[in-house]
Amino acid sequence: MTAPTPEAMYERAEFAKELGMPIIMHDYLTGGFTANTGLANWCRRNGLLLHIHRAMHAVLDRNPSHGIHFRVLTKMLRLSGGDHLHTGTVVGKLEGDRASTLGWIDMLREKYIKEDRARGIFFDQDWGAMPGAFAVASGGIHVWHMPALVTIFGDDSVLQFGGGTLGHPWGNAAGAAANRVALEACVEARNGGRVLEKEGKEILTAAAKSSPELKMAMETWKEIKFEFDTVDKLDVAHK
Amino acid sequence: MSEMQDYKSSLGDVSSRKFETFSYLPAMDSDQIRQQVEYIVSNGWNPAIEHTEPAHAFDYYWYMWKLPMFGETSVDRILAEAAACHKAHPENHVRLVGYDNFKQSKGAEMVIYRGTPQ
Repeated sequence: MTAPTPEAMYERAEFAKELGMPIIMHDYLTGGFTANTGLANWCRRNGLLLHIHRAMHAVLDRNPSHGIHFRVLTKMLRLSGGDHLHTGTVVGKLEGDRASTLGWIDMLREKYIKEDRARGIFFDQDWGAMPGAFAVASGGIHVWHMPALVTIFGDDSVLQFGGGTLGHPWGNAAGAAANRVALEACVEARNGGRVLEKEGKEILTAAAKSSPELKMAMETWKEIKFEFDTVDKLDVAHK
Repeated sequence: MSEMQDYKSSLGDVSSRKFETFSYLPAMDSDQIRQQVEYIVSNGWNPAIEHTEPAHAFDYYWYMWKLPMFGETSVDRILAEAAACHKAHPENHVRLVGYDNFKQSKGAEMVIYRGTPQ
């Protein structure tokens, strides 16, 4: 929906509704908070879900000397309105510090967030009856990341596999099936009390026995690793 | 070109459709189902059984089997209700639901008996 003017944005929203789309996407930072709040209200009135991208966040939240940290931008989105928000994945091709990501996932979804300076939450925050939004993991994720993603994001989340679906050598239907098998195998194992990040390989390997799609996906993405340190670290002095 | 595969999923063939958690995994055995019931109970969720004709599996609302089992913590009783529902409606899908009354939504939902399509 992100458009040069709010008028164009609403025009596009009406087109999407006309086509029977269940969900539309908006860049809340480039669109602006006012535009986003208006669109969120429009979505509520018209029964569409609102998926929120965070394009431009990196120039706002990356520099420790100035700018706005993403935990604050997350809070602004929850206040403004939206059903999903891209939060970073910790794993995958885009960087993200695990502790602070967990902090703003809480900020997005929970009713009451306790002070936890190790996660960048500086004071208790009570959201009362204000609804939360789903955290979205996206960016260079594939089946091998599934155990970590299920552990980090838990149940109320969206895991968006783009290249991790379309890159499957048998096509996107097989890619989607592989991801779904991996997800369900991890959820089943987690519910049964297994530690996913420790036993992930065994869990996926066992699930692949009954899913040739998953077996192929594990073969395809086994060498794909993203190893770099995060730039956007929590300010240690204030921990 | 690598070997391609066709997907049998179609609206015309109700047995080809996949839905609910764990539908992409092989059918669970009774120990695995018990483990999922234990998970629902250990989270303090309220278990419930619902069922529907396979042709209507994609509808939002399924028939309730009796009422949700508010506060039930006996895994055997929950499994017995699911079995009773399956016995009464052998042609229907039977699903197990765990209601999370704090989040006010379903915490878990899975089909544990797949019905035979009519």
